[in-house]
Amino acid sequence: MRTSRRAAGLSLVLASLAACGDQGPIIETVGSDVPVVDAPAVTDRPRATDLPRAADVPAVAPPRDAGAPAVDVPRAVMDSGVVVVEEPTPDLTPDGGAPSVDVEPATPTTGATMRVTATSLNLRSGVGTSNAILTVLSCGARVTVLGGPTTGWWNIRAGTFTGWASGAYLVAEASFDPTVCGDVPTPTMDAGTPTTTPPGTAPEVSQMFSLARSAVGYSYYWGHGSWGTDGRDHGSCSGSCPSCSHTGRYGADCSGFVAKVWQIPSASPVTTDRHPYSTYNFVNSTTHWSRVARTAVRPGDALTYNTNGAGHIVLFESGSDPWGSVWTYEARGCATGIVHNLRTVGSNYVGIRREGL
Amino acid sequence: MTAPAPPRTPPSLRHVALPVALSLAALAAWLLWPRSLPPEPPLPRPTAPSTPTALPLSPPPSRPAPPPPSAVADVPTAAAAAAPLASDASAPRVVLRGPWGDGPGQFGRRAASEGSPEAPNSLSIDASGDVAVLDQVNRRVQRFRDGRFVGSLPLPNEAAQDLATASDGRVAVLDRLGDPSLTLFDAAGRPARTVPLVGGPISEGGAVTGLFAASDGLYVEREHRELVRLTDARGEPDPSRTTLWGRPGRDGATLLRASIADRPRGMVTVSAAARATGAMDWSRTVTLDGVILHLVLLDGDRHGRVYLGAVAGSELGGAITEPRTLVVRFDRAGVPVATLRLPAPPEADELFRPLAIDDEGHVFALSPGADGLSLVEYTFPD
Repeated sequence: MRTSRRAAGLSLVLASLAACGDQGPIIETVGSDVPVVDAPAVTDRPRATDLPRAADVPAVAPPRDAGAPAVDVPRAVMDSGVVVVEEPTPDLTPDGGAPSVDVEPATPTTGATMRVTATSLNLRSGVGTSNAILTVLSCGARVTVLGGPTTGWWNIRAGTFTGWASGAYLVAEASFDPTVCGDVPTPTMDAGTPTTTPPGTAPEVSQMFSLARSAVGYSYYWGHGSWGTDGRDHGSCSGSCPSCSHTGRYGADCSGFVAKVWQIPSASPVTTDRHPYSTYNFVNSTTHWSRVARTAVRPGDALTYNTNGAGHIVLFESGSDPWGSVWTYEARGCATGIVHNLRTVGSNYVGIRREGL
Repeated sequence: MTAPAPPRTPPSLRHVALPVALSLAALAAWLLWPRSLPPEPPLPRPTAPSTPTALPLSPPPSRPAPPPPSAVADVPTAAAAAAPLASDASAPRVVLRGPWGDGPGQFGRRAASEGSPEAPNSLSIDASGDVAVLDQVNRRVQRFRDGRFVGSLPLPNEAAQDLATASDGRVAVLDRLGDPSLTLFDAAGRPARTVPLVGGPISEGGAVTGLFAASDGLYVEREHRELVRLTDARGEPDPSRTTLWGRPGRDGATLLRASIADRPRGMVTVSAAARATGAMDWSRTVTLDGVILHLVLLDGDRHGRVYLGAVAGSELGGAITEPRTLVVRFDRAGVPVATLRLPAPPEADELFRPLAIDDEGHVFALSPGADGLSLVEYTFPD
């Protein structure tokens, strides 16, 4: 066995040398002679950083945007600018022509499926805002009722998370109106080229990358998704997100950036601030996208992960790098903002593809 | 899934068969190979139509207990627990270990809820064995000697991703994405010069894939291909932006390149050229165990041996599972002589250059854990 393998290897060497032509010598090896040594682990695996507690995040004014689903939430808790609501008795006042919100208290039964009607809704480990945030649920997310209410808070399960959220922003599946999440046709593709893109219609890949390129240089803005069309007003970010500080009108975090480039749940101008989905949604649901194998991703797909409340998503452009790095557009973080770069993508990222591509 | 450990090749066979094959290969190479390199020759592609056999891996040994965490700023060198390795392998050694934090000897880590998680991105080992760790979350480079914190260099922002230590001890830091530039520190540890990245072959900062200190200056690598000189040996900018075919090895004589030849089959091509003459020394394609995710290391020690690092895994249902880091050592003639399998890399953190070697070919790996960062040294069997 060993001898024949040796002979085969030598033949392969000579065949390679004969075939190398103008590229010079190529020496193939099957590698079977290379001893492998297992190096034992000496350190623990990393864990995700704990999500910030409510007391750690500064309260800032909620953004006002004509294109965003308008839910006026006087007692909303603001995590670095993102509209995250959770108080159990909000004053839900329709605002500025936006679709009205069903303000009837939800009366679900255990096991019922409910939908989130707030732009973002905190899921906490217990009743009250002093409890830790487990994850942030996006508008339209489906949850299962496990119990409640307790002073307006419902015990629910969302994906792998089980916790408590305000029942004021949950409605029964049958009563859910997708317009509260902005899932309506919007008559512009971007601010400069008005078009009508019906919901579910994917922009061309070239259009996606045009949108992505126009975002490069804009700041990272946790919980947001918008940028200018003139390359100005980039904004700035400082600190450690989500407990970071942002100045300026425009910016996006990773999931807001990809949702805008993908134009989901529907087309909207890049200047309109919307943040319909988090990485939790991109990983755990298939609302406007579906899973694709890592080895099958193609331009316009995204790579994403979400583990223990921490997550990231990048827009895949090309895998042409000889080292296996990938060209991506991404809202990377506070220090860099939205960038175009070659980067490695860890093994826990999954591929997803926008519907219609 | 791993195959049983292969039987050891008898030394006599090993010492006879390989030299014969190599002698023939070297003779043919001498006859066929062009005497000088074109400005940027393509990497040779594998031409053999046969299906290579994957490298058989030994089953993982039982894992030793992790060393006790250190909570103090000055982190003494801690020896790892005895490792049940093969007799010809040395135990990994924890060179330094520091908890997450922002004090001296501590390291910054950030796992944003909607962003790219970060831990120290890179490290360098100078000729005397001193270690520099890029602690970019804390806006600094930390320097260690014998596992003890000896000082830090301040950085202007948190976006740096790579660093290099020149032969005179000066440190340079690469920022690809924040303010795309190279910052060179003086001997006293003060920022002395900043050189923009973009220009010549570098069209954007995101295309840069590494920073390297060579005897004639500082280079950045473009898309894992050629290197572009940004400064001369004195740190003065090089307006001509001359290029180098590949990465400089630590022997000062070798240039190196690597390329994934067949990702699903785990095939990687490594090439070495003589820097002085431009002649190709060798080019070889090896097959690693698993689907290649990406490469993480290519360097040469002062003896001319070459080291290739790759993150590989198994594909299951469209996902990559069982990720592991494999490091292959090639001898001076380009023969792969051993492969180390290191613990799985962090799944989410993007570590820009998490592996490095020193002049003697010891492998150093940044290893983020739950409580802090360790720098672990692995030694190939002789």
